[in-house]
Amino acid sequence: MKQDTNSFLPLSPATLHILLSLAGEELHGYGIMQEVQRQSDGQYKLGPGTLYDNLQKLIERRLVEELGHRPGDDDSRRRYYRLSSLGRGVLAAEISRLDGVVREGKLRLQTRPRRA
Amino acid sequence: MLRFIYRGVLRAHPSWFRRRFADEMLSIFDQTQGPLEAARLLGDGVISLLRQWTLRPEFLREPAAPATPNGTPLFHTFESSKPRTEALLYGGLLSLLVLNGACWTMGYAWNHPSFVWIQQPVIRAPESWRSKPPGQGAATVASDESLYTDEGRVLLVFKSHNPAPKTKSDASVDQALPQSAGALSEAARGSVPGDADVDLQAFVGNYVVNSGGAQAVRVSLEDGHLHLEIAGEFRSSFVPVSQSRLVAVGINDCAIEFVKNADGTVAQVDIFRGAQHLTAVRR
Repeated sequence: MKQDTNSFLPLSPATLHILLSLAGEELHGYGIMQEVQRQSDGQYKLGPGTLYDNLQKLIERRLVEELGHRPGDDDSRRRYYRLSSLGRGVLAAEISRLDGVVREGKLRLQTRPRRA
Repeated sequence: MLRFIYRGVLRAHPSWFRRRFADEMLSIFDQTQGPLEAARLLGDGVISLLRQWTLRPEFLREPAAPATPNGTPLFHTFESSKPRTEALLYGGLLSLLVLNGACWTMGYAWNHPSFVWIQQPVIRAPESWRSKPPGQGAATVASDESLYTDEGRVLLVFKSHNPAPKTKSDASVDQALPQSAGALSEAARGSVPGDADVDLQAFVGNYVVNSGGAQAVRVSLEDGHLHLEIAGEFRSSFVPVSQSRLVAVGINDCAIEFVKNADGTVAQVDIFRGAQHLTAVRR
């Protein structure tokens, strides 16, 4: 049964960054934290507690899939995660929504009347 | 030190979250550099702890196994699962309360029979015995007492090895018997006059109850035991408890007593069945 991606919107900043970081490749928790930091130019630092709290909800909602441990990794405690097709659809819908927000924002800012 | 505290914080998380993510969170903590960064993760861990216990009740328990796309449920084993700590605590506390309540109820019921009726044997001696001065009658009887129980009832049987003329105290004993004679068990038979000690043949014969119409009563001796039969109503075997009194075997509150004439011949039989008293005269 196909779920309506719009029912997940809008996403919280943490959820958006996690989904965005997983959109490129499969990552472990520490990798997600580093990727989020890189995306935000160091402005948004995700703690492990916040990360795994969100991952727990995303896995429960089937937006993210847990892949388990990967043999040959530096740290055997790491588990990898990837974006599910539903998660990718939700991310696309959120980006589209944000795109509309940005477009509308730019439009409003350009047409703002100047005071004399 | 901070790592030790962080591990403690992780251990305090709900079991489902802890089993799933604690190792990874500790792995991330191990990769941090500098005490400031470690302290930041520790603060994050404390906030996570509060959040999981207060805002995530849906994750306090392990979620059910998901179903496959075609609807078939997936199963997993419980080899590594164990009861939650709080469940064990609550269970232990509940067990103590229930046990304590049961013990208190039993104790209260024993001391308050009206709360839950518990049969307790009560033995009362006739008032006539108590009024007797020592050395007369009662004292002689009491020194030769025996106690018999059967079906939760208590019967005191007093007898004398020296046959003597029936005294007032003997009469009192005989009067007390009908109320409890039925409680005499087979075990008691060895301590009271046996069938051979009493001339049972003297009681054999036909009797008739005159009150309420003539009712035939037949007393017979079969295999050395005395039997009494009220025509169409009652039949039982009896064992002697004195020279003139016999009690029914296996029937509560049932006894008979034969009354003799001055010449020693049996004149009548009194039949005691609970509160009922019949007198049958010999034909």
